[in-house]
Amino acid sequence: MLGTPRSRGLLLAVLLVAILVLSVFVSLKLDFDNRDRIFQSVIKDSPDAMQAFQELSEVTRSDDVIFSWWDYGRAIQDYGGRSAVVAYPSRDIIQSVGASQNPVYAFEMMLFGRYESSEKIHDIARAFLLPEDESLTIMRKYEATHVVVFHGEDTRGAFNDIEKFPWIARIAGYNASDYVRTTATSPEPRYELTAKAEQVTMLRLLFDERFPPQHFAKVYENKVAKIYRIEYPVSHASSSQWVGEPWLALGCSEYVMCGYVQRVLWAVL
Amino acid sequence: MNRKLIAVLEYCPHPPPGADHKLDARVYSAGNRFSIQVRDFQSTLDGIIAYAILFSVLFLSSFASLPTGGLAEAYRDSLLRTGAATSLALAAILIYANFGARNLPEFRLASVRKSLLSSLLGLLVWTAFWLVFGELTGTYHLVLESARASLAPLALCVGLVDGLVAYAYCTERLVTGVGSTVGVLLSSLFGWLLFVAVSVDFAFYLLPVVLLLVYTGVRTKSYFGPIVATSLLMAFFYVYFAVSPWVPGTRQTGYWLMTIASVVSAFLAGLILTKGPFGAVSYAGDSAI
Repeated sequence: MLGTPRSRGLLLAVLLVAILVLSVFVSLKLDFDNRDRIFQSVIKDSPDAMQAFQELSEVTRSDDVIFSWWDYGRAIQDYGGRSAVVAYPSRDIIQSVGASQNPVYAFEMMLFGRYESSEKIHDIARAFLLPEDESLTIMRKYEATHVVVFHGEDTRGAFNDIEKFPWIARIAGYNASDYVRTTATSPEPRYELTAKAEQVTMLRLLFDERFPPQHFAKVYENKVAKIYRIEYPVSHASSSQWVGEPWLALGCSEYVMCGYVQRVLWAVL
Repeated sequence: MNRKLIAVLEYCPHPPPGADHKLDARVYSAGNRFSIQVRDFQSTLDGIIAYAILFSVLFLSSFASLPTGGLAEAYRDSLLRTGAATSLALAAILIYANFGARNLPEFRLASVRKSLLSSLLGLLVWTAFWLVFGELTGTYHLVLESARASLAPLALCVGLVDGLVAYAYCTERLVTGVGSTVGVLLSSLFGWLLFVAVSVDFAFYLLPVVLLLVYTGVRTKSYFGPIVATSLLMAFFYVYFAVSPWVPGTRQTGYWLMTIASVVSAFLAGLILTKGPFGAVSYAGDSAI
């Protein structure tokens, strides 16, 4: 069969195409895997960030759900041992991922990347931009019990939500400059909060000394991160979910089951 | 269509000077140059099998779960993984070549000096043009990745092993098998993919210089120079990466400009090499092309 030059040529052409496809696939996969591990490695290099993630297992229960920007989701799961509301970006916000500036990596992300739904990512962004009362509705939708925000100033900007704020605002459909103004870009950016900033949940959580949050109780803080327990108001409760774990139906973790709520519930049940 | 065919046949293989139908002749010439014509079936098959071994071993290595350490450890582990896989592939290729009594990787020592000087000159010219363009236009500038700084020697070694597999054996086989143009193009692509595999940042812009180096290897009839130059490229661009200072969200434009600048730089470097002190060597003169 391989006796004729034509059939030999055909065989080589097929083999060449096959090996080209294989080699492109393998190279891209190796590159993607290498880059995919980078953020987790950056966390390992930051003792404060590592401590914050590990602290999650101390200050939360094993079934608690942590609300954060998607960047931290996998570290919450891997190092904190807790479920995160989101751990991956959605396809429509891929331009906000730093590495997407590289066309090769952007292509790899399309091929091998994992994605959250667009609705979820936009909900998270809106929850961070809206005033506290409105944010709680979204946080309840995802059964979140705690929120983690990052205020660390590191050279890579990995743990600084204020640096990510312009993108989060844009994804939520808001203009970041209405809330935060960058006053200098060199050598380090400086951020100035506007009068509207206090309406924004994320900024209230980041600058809690200036704008004390109403529905979030800080349970941990270090140089990099702040962990808050969400204190859902009683009026958000759905009566059909009360049986079983009434305090969770009210959106409270066991830590916030105040005496009043407890008394009311046990009286009803 | 008929008219074209007649014109091509008339001038085949080369049109006489000053003849009509120049365009048709050029189309034919270009088409002929880029069509794959198998000149040596066994050599081509050897090249393909060698690349298949290399990328299969690399594929298997992707299943190795590496421990998550700090950033420096992550970079080191990925380099070590690729280096180990490529070394293993090299050993397998040598066994294959030995068993089949086929051509082993060779450096052609007589041409080593010329190959080395040509490759380093090409690399120097490419780097100079490319960097000057980046600096003058502000499109990109080099930044040291501190977590990778200590890994330059390891990257150099990985580059050497990559070069040994990709150039000393595979390129030689493919060029013998399918001719210089297709052989150089294919080998450059495969060789460049090894940069991607170790996550050299913005690896796309290295493709033109890899093409130039493979071309230099074929031209000087020795792959020693391209191997050394490739390992230097690997060591340098693993430690330094080029960043576009433009605002996030539009940086792909900067990236493509970097790549275009690289193409132009490689072209100029190739031109200088062709016309320069090492241009007298015939284009793979005595190989089966």
